[in-house]
Amino acid sequence: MGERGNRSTDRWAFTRADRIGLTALLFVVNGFSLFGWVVAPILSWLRGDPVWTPFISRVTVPELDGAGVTYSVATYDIRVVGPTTGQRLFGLAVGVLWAALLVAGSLIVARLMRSIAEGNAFDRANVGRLRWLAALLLGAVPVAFVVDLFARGALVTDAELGGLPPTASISIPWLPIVAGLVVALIAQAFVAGAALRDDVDGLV
Amino acid sequence: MPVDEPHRVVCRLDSLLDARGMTLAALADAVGVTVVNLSVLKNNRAKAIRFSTLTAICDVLGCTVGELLEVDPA
Repeated sequence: MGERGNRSTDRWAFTRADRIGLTALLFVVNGFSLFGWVVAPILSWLRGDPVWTPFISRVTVPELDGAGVTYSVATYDIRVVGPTTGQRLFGLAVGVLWAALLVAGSLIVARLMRSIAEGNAFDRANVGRLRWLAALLLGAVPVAFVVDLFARGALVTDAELGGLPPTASISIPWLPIVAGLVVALIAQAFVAGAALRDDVDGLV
Repeated sequence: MPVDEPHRVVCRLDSLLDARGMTLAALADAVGVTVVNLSVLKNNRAKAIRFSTLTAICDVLGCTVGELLEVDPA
């Protein structure tokens, strides 16, 4: 952050170097995520590898009963051998969904960044971009969380769990919801900014 | 008339400059506004004008606001 030398004292200015850095970071994150969510499951399927999936169940430690412990649930990674084609496809579809959301969000951020760099921060199109980003975070990401939960549940149903009962654990994805609300708020600020820009346009 | 409808304000800068034998560039230099902005004003493409710009133009051209800007009859 910040300009070099004495040109500016604004250390929080989002400079060209920051834009390049963020673009590179988005490329890396998208690349690794696409591999992890889409390519790796396909390769694993082709090799006939088992699928690993988180399994949530109540954990007990009888040795600690004397100390008076409070038992809770724990997450284990369990191996599902020979999943059906339907289970594979469901898991892959969830991965594709996550990847699509990430790519869509990254493209919106990249276009926003370019527009701001060109001096058109308060362009009407940016209001739309920010609102799409807010919609992704507020709507699509929580939906993807639920679909992901169902996909994992579908895998666990056929697994050998040694008599352990699966425990449903629903955690509301607060972070993307709060982030989505903040982005929606910023979009509203951009509405005001765009209106101000229209007023100033043609001012002599 | 709602404010978002087209206006009927006409700028007479062209004729004022002609009458004084002054160029747009010279006026821009004297007023401290870019030639591009004054050109926008002269060609009636401006949507608004700052009071400070208006004052400076009237001072340099020795005219009134009414001589510089007129509202065309509807």
